[in-house]
Amino acid sequence: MTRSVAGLLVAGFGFGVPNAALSQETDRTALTNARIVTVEFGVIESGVVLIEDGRIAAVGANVDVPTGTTTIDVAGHTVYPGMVDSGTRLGLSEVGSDPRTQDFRENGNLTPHVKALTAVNPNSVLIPVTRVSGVLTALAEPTGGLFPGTAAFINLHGYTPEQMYVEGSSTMVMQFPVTGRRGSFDQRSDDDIEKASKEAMKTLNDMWDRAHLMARLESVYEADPEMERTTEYVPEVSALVPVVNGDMALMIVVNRAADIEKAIDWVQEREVALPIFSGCAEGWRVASKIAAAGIPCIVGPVQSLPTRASDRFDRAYANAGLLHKAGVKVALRTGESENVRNLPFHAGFAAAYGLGKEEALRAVTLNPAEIFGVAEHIGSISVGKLANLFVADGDPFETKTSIKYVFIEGHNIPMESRHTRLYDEFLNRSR
Amino acid sequence: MRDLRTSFACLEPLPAVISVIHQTSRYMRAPDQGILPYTVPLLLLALLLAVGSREAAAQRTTAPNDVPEVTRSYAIQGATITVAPGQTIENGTIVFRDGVIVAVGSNLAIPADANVVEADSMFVYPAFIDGLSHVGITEPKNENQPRPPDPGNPEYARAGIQPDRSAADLIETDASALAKHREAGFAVANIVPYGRMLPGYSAVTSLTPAGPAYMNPSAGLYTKLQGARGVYPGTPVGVMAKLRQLFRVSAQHQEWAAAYEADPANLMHPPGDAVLEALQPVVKKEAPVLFHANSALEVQRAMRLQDDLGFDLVIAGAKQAPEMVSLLAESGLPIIYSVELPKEDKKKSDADSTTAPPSYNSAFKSNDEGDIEAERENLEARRAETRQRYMEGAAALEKAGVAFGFTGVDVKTADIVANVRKMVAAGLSEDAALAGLTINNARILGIDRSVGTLEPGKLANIVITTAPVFEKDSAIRHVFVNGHPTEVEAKKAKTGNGGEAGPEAEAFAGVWRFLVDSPDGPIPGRFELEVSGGSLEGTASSSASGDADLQDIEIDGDDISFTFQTPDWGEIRVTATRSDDRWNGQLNVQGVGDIPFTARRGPGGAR
Repeated sequence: MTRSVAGLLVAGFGFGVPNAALSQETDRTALTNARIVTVEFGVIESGVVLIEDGRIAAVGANVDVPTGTTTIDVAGHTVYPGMVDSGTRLGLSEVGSDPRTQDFRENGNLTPHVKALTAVNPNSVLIPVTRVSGVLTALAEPTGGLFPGTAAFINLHGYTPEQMYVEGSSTMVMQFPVTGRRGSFDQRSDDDIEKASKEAMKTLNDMWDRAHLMARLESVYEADPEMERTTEYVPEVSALVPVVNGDMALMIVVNRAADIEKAIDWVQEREVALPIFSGCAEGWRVASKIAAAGIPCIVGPVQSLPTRASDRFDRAYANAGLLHKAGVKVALRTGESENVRNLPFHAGFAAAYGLGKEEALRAVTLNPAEIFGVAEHIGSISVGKLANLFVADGDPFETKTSIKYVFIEGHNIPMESRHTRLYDEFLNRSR
Repeated sequence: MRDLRTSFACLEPLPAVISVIHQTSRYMRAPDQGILPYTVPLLLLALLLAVGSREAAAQRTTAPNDVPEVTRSYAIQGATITVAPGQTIENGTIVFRDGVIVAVGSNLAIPADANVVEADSMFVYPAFIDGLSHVGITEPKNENQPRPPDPGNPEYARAGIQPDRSAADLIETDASALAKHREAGFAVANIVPYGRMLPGYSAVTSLTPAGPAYMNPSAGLYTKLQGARGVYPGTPVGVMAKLRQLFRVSAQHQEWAAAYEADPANLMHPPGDAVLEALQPVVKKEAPVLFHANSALEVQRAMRLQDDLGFDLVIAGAKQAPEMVSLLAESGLPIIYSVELPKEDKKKSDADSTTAPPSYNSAFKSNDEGDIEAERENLEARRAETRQRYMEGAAALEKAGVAFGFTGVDVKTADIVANVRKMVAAGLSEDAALAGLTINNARILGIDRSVGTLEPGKLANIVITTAPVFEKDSAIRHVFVNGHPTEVEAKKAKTGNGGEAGPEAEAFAGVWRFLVDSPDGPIPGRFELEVSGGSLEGTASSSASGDADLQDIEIDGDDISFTFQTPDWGEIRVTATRSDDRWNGQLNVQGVGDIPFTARRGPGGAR
């Protein structure tokens, strides 16, 4: 009786899952007898991963494990670096049908000064659900107008957004103007479409020019601190200054082939220092052009239908593989909130439809880390990186595989989530 | 189902939405399904399409460009700068910061933080000031008010006595008319309310991109000799009598109030009367009376009232100035002169212009046979002479030494500068024309310390044009109001003929009657197009649209396209092809789609 009341309370409040009661006794943990897929340095068939102070202290077949180390024998299992989803609403959206829990979309066209990180809810029920599947880092990205804000990687464990933040991963998001007809529902005349697209491009270019002007003004005032400033306080333009200065990446959301070509031209014309394309649903149509421009692509969701009725059924599955073959650096995104946990299966589809297992694993580990400039912290099992890793009894892209252990920044995360709690509750229901 | 809700909440692009439907229907199509599983996805599809089209509509209505300004430090360089009428700097630079002009001259150092506007081969002028305007205020509809029980003694508002109002309370801050005025080169306007005898105080306003910024919300008391309908005062004599009464009662009221304030003993308190109190600034000569007087008679009546009551008087309108040049000059009154000109004589322009027009013979007498043709010609000659005299009205005022300002209250915004251009062609000096658009109005409105010329210390109200402003093909490119920029897009050449309306545009001039098969049944209406100021202009009128100005008129050969706004259907875009006196085309209505229509030239439509 007591149990079922507690269960109901948990179900009722929703946020009842403790955000990882920390369970290690010392701050040193060793995973022994492990098959280690490092991603960066190949596979070690039997070895040790030593975790110390939240980072990976040693990896290899022969590692001396100091005394006083919590040792976990994972014989027969494989250690992988934590998977990274390069486009989610995790922490920004809780219940899809309740607008009060939707924080990923701000009103207005120009809000680049808005930071998704500040809106992340560390107590989101969806975070434990996600991390127990091996997805340990996710890009929380805002959507909305032309410049909806900055996205940031969060490790899926922490009590504040700052604790979850992956250092240096802030990225400006830009929704490239959709210039064509949006679909059969789009009843605008050709003139209107052209006018709207012209206006959208003008806004984009004006904004970019303003950001350059702001950058110049800031350097002028820095050079001459005596000078009386006339600069207005314009946070939306100031937020873009690091982007035009080349200190922050610009993630351009673009899907249609024609728009991708336009975006490539725009990136080259405007000399964007760190461009990233996100979405790229029709990237495969213009793969060689993207490759020639050297712009990495965040592809996904993989499990979706083709963009055009005339396309082969598997275009979305094959997209990542085709882009990779053309020479584009590819990472994957689900674009999800509650189903970020399905990232491995998105990767599995991409692997099966041309990307290959090894590259698919890279696309959810090392590639995103490199694309977003945080490879010193995450993306592979290598000494010095954050101890974000999981232990599985098989290939994580297979649905039958189960995840045994999850470590985020060295914390051994309990394998509990709303799913397991509901499972337990209904397994033991009394009537 | 949760996927579906997510799609609703975030309005993903359609492909994703459709994918959800496909998946949903796939899941629902179990082998033993009945009919229901098919209908549910269809309903969902309809619902989603509705959401999708609403999304598209919402995106269309977002502001076209809301990119914020970064700095208030600007420099315009390489331009021919007219600092004040008659004072020009070649290849000059003008620097302004925080909305105020810092320096003007040649070879100026440009501050390191300046946003530089390259204006090589362009021309810079002080931005214009409209001496009297209704811009931004919606004209109230003429409603037939019931006759009050005592028409000899109506309430103030019913009699048109509303000095307790200010235009500042009536201007719609987001009115597109304000933006149009700014794009026509106006940085400041003296805006007056609509009304009858005393419509209210005028507001002197900067037309900044963010909306009106008031320099003086009660600059002058707008006054007309227009009587109320069906109540006292209904005639000019009644209005004059009522004005005298109001002024004197207001003065009395003031004395009473002052006495009561000094010592309330033995005195009844003065009754609160907003109208009498609102007249105080004028009675005390702290604000002028802006008398809208067009005819010589009205001007003389205004002067008479001034003699009687001793207020400060500004004459606005003065359309009949050519008949009273010396009267105006001798009065020494500030004049805000209407830029309205007589309509072009179409017949004359059609005729062979090389033959000199016959001159009017005042001694002409029709002979006994009734030589109607000769009489008609003589009368037409008289009309042409009068027309010419009115074209030269501004020049005559200048010659008589009147330092007048201009008002565009009687013409469309786009015609104000165009008409001044015609006055220059008819003999007005360019300096006087510019002064009339700028410094003279500033002086009359008492704001010449801050606007009217480009001297340092004044507000950065600046117009940049592609050619000297009074040349025919001069176009405005930038307008700065209080240092805030507005870029004016170059209009597409209407006919590819250097801005001059060619025969192609002329062929579209006239009245076109149309019948549209709308979903609500057939709607008749008409487009009226005319060539004005070198470009095609027009209106659309129908039961669905009311009267609306046509915008973005573009002509390419026999093809025409334009848009107009309707209250119920938003913007309607028309594209049509003309063959002789018929149009075939379509109206694009947002959310409805293309509706085909035909139009034919209506009566009065022949050129």
